[in-house]
Amino acid sequence: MPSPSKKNYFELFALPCTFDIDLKALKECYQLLQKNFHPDRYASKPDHEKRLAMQHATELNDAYSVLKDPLKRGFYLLSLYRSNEQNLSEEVSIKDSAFLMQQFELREALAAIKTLDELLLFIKKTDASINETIEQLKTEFKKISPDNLSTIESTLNKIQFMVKLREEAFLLEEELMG
Amino acid sequence: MSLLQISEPGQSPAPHQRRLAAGIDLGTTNSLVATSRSGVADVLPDIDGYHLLPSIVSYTKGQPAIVGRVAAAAAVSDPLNTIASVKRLMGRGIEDVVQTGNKLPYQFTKSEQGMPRISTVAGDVSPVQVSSEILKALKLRAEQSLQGELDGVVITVPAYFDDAQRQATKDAARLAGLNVLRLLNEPTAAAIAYGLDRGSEGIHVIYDLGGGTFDISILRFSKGIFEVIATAGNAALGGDDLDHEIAKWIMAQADISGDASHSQMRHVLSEARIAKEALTNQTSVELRIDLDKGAVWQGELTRKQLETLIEPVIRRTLAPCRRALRDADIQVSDVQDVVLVGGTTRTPLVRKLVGEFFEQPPLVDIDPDKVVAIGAAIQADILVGNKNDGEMLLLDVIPLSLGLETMGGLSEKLIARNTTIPVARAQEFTTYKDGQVAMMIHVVQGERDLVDDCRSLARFELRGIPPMAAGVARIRVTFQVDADGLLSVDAIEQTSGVSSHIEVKPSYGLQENEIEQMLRDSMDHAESDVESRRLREAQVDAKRLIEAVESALAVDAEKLLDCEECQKINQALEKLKEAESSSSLEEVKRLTSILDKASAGFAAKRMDANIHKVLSGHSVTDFDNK
Repeated sequence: MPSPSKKNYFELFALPCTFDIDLKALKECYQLLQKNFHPDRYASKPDHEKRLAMQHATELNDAYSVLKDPLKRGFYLLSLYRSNEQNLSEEVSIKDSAFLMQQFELREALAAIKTLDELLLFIKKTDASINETIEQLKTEFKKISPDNLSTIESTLNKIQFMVKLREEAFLLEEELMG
Repeated sequence: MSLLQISEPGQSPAPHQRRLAAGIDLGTTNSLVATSRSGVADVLPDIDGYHLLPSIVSYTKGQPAIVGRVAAAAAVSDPLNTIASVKRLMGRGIEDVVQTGNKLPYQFTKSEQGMPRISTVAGDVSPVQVSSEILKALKLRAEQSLQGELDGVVITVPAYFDDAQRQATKDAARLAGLNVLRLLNEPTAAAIAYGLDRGSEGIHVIYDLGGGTFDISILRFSKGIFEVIATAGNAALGGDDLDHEIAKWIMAQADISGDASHSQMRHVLSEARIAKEALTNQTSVELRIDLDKGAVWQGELTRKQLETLIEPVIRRTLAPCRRALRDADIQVSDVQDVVLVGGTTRTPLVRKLVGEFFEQPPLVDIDPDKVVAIGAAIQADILVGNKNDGEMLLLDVIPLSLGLETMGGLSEKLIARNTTIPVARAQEFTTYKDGQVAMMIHVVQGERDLVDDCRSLARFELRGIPPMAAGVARIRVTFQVDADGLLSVDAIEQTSGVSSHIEVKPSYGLQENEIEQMLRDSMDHAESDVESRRLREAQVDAKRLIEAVESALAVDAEKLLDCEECQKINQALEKLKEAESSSSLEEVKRLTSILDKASAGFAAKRMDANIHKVLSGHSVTDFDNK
């Protein structure tokens, strides 16, 4: 998808290029822009304007979905810092073996869960460790420099691991609730 | 050049002539049309004063199809030529039909591919054609009532309709000669009707149980924006299923065998429905079923018995409710109100179970049969340009994830369900064999991991990839979902630039040439009619473009264009203006397209300038004070 505005996502919403953004300002800016550029505003306009409106609204939605999610925002910001444009690989490469071992154990624990109460507690704990790691990420991003990019990436990968774990927990929740 | 009116970008320069728009609720059991007059939207009755048009079409040899009440009367006497609940068949393949087919008393014509046809005395008809008959009847009703041709309509579809079902609905509208401004999700339409009625900000849940579909949608209304935050449902669960449960019970009680005649089944089903409706207000109902050879079975059904029969069906709606709450990341306690939509929500047990689940009594102030059509009419009025911009904006989502088949028959999801539309996502794939020159791309929709468990939307082949070693080619596949929830797919081989684009024509949909053919064949569209309508449409498009370009030039030409660009646009503009009323379809289309291309860059610049203006007018700190 070509970017019609040729701006990065932060610039698109007139936000500073930082990790710890004002989510309220993000949302209000998004809504303001959508009010002006959503295809519904162009429903009875010529085709090329409809197309443009769709492209802009698409970009806005894309940008918003990335910036409002801390994990996606983190990966995106990291990619802006990396001088080469090569996309960050989705492959998770974590060298922290203690973390990996812990994740492995958590997955085993999840697989053993039989009741909804146990599961809800598990989800609560996972949420807490995700939030904790996001706080750590905030600190790391504040001190961002060429030297700690890989530390940041490793923290992002850890969060991604935990988010996936939580998704699996949600699937089990659906099963248990029937 | 003529005198120009100067107008703000995004607003029409034409003197404000009210345009005719309508909202259509194309339901499984009943359909309605509503329109907004002097700011109030209401449902239009037929000449006998009925608002609901039964979604039933009856075919007789050599006669135009009959729709509605009269057709409903034929359902028992002539079941094979009377099509009811056709919405269940829209965008469905023959295998799906056979599954549902146990319940549906029609004869299907098997075809190798494409959508199933129903055999009638008037020939084989596709579900799209049957639907278009219903739409034509509603169009006629609206145009007689408004005394003019409709400029555009909004048609509602279940939020949980997949791409194939949406496309089929749009095709039916085209066959009926309607200009579709937008396909709107039914629950969203209901939310608009309620939200604008009360202007209440907060989180609204819409529980929509119709004749054949179930939808749950969660919306947030704040500062004039309706944002759908999650939706879930079941496209094959509704009041019909309650009727079938009751019918099964009657058949067991009355000792009617499962292979009873079509008309006997229809009779039992219709008695079942009457009993269900009666039990909304009564606690018991007498049943009387005519059996073969003049025999009669009589019995009684109490509300308690009924509730035992239907409770499992209604409970099946609660799992999607849970999923939607989870996707929206909210708790039951965050929900401000629960709105009931769809005739089936009249059933007391539905109200009770929904009330228990959401821990509050549901709202039923607006007639659940009419609320969707009313919301659609409000949205149609906005989209056609009768209301001020900025009044209300709707941000809707895609209901089911979209993915591509990858090695091993797995679906790789490109767009997750409940993503705000319009949306585009791209993914790169590569070849797996040396010298591979083509690649099959299979688009599927659904949440499951295995492709076989998802709905197949389309298959297409990207050909002409230059021979390379395995894994070297870089094929970028882009999904674009527009504001109607319809998908188009682009594939491009990055190293060579070989590309392929398709508007996704669902595997079970109509092909473009089939639609053309149907338009030609349909009785009230003789060939000359089709031609003249095309010409008129092209002229309207041309006029709209001329107006838009002229007003854009008046405002921004000096700021944004250099001499050369300006001259190019003006030339194309003058040429199109000369030919605007020409009787040559080709000429009008050709010149429209030239002006469209010539002014595309200008339009892009204006849009950028606008974004800049919007943002600079409101610095970040301003937002807090609004």
